[in-house]
Formats: sequence, structure tokens, C-alpha cells
Amino acid sequence: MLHHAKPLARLIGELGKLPGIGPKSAQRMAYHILRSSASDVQALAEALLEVKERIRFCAECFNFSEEETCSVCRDPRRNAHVVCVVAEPRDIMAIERTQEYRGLYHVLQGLVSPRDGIMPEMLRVRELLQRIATRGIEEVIVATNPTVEGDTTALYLAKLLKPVGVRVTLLAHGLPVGAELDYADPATLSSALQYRREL
Amino acid sequence: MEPYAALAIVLRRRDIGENDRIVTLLTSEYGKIEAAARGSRKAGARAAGASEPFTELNLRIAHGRRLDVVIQWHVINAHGHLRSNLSQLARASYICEVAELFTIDHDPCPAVYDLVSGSLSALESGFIEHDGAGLDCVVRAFEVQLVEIQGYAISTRACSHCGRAISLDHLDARSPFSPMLGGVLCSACRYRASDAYSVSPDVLLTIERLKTQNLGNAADLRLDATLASEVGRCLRWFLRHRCERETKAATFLELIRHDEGLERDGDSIQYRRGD
Ligand SMILES: [Zn+2]
Ligand SMILES: [Zn+2]
Repeated sequence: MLHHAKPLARLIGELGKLPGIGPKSAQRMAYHILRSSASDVQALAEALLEVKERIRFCAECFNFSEEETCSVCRDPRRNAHVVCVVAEPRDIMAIERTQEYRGLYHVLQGLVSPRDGIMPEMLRVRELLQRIATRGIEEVIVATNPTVEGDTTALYLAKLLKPVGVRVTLLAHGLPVGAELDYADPATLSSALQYRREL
Repeated sequence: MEPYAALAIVLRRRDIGENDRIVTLLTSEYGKIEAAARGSRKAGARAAGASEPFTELNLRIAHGRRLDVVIQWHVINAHGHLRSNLSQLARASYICEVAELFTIDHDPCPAVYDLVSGSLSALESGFIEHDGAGLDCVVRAFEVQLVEIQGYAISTRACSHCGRAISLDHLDARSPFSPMLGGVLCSACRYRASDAYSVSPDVLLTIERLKTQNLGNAADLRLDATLASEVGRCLRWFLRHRCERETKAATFLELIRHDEGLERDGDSIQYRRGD
């Protein structure tokens, strides 16, 4: 059997640790890097190091940030009385793309997952309570995935925040835009019925 | 090989690659199996909702080289109501995990399938919302019936060490119970198990009753709080001795039960060696 030269094998091994990258893709990427110019490879390596060095979590909302607080938290035009709770920083990007929302965010850094043993105290829940207690927050919008873990997290937060006296709303889980009713799976349809709105 | 049809409940799923998931299915005909759910993480894909835990489906599955692949999803019952109530959700997660732990790959078990399906339906219970104590009775019935089906019957009438018959007629007499040995002990054998503790005849009678309890009415069983807690303790330890690891979902369930006022401090599930 033919083996890769040691440095190449090492690169394939490191790339293979990335999410969604199998051994085949890792090999393809490694070959691509090998064929690239020295300056391109240099730029890639620097970008990797820089992101690790410069990016940290926002002290307020736990979004990625270059400074102590992130650009959303620092923006004075945003409504500081509303906080949208998401699982990951990438969810902020998704909501920002809608240009519908002008409040702040709170990144939990995960979802409550009973089956994986991920408990609320392993997430940024305490920090959320702290923010609500000290920052004059009036509404919390829980925007988690419409999955069992997302629903578990949302219901747990709703229950936890009820006695705190803030308004808690959940994202409506409905039919995907452009879908046909009789094609929708029953779980989606049943959730669309549950969270139906007044016209 | 031709694709095959299976009646299945999604016990668990995990993400793989960009768009796909692997689902762990409890099937009626083929026991517990794993299959790929391609494209199931794309919003709006039929497989997205269908591959969520608790969903009951009719599937067509193609044989794959490394992993079988689901090629057709037909949802029979999404058990969607479970997902709008935290008390139900926590218990449904626990039931699916215990079902996964107590079944073997490719070992047909229609009785376990019916039990899991019936238990999820009983938790969901349509438009009536049961409180945590009622839902716990469904979980207890599920546990008792599951171990019974899988051949680990809980001994209530005969000593689980020497086999001597035990009378439950004296309602004030407590008996030693050893989760490790599998049930009640006679007075001569009480020191045979380091984990034995005494239980009331009511506990044993309740366990017996749960063996044949109709799941649909289980949530209406009104067990006294002390009795419910004693029965829960027996089953928790009985199950713990019969599977390799702690159920993770039990930790979350404990938290929810605590909020419901059902879990008392010190009643913890943590298994201490030599306890
Ligand atoms: Zn921030
Ligand atoms: Zn005996």
C-alpha cells in the first residue's frame, strides 16, 4: 500500500478533523493546497492564526467579536430592550440577513440536549438571566431551531423566564415559504397550526 | 437487493456532513437499526421533520454498502404535541434513550415497538394535559413492561436469591429489595445483597400492577407521592444494574421533575459504587 509523505499525511489528518470533512475531502483539499502558490498558502495559514488570535466572545452577548463587545452590542441605534436568544453566532447572521430585527442578541453557545447530556447550566443561561436582571430587557425572543433540542431549549427558557417578568416569545415554526400544504410533513403542519396567528 | 419497508420510530439522530443525518430507528420487523437520512437538514425537506426523534413512520429503506438509506418517508404520527410541553418532552427523551439502551441491533422486537409507541402516545394524550406525577406513571409502566419483555422480570413474589415464595398479605411488613439481584428477598437472604433496602408491600403490588397496566390509562393512576417515589427508586436502580451506562436524559428529567416539585434533593440518580 502506498503511503503519503509524512507532512502531507499530517495535513490530511488535520483537515480531516474539520466538521463535515471526510478522508476523501481532506485529501482533495490537501492536494489543492499543495498545488497552490506559496503566497496563497501563506495567506491561508495567517488567516487561520489571526482568527484564533483576534476573535473572542463578546462580553455581553457571546457573539464573535474583535473587541470586548461586538458590533451589534455597540450599535446605539439598536433596541436594547429586546434580546433575541440564539444557539450559535451563525444564527445571528441568518437573522441579520432578514433585516427585520433591530434588537440585541444572546448566544447560548449550544442547545439543551437531554440525549447528549447537555444541560442548561453548560450554556450561557446564567449570563442571560444576569443581562435581563441588569440591562432593562423587556422582551426575549427565543429563536432556536425547530428540532427536539431547539424546542427543549425554548420551552426551558420560557419556563425559567416566566417568573422574571419579561415578555417571552418563540419563533413561529411554520410552513416553508413556497411549499405546498399537502407536501408538508405532519410535524411542520402541526406546529404551524399550534403557532397560528390572528389575522 | 430490493429496498425493504419498515414501521419505525426515530429514537435518535445525529448530524453528518453538511445536509445529512443518521437516524437510529426502532423498527417493528428488524429491531433497532441505523440508516442515513439524506438531505434531512435542509429546511423544508420532507426528511427534515420526519427524521426528528419520536416520529413514527412507514419507511422504505435501501440497502447500502456501509449504511442503509431511507428512500421514502411516510409519517404515521409525528407526536408533535410532545414538543410543545417540557414535562412531556423530557419524559419522551428519556423513554427513547432507555428503549435504545435495552434493544439490540437487528433483533426484531415488535412488543418493544408497541410499548414505545404506546408510551409516547400516552405521554402526549391528546388534549388532556397530565401533570408530572401522571406522566411519571407512564414512564414507570414503560420501564416495568420493557424489562419484562426483554427478559429481566422484576421479582415481587419470590426471593430473587433463593426463589422462596414471598407473601404480600401482611400489609405492614416491609421486605428487602435488591435492584442488583432483581427484586424482593426473603428474610433469610436479606444480607445476600449489599444494595438491599426495605420496601413496603404497596411498592411490590404497584410494580406488579404496572406489569399489566394499560398505557393509555397509566397517567390517571393516582399514586401517593411517597409510594411513587419508592417505586421510582426501585426501577431506577433496577434499570441501572441492567444496562452499561447511565441514561443521559435522566439528568435533564431530574431537573424538570425538580421544577415540578417531584424530585427531592438526595433522591439523585447518581450511581455510587458499593452503594
Ligand atoms: Zn455582543
Ligand atoms: Zn431467599
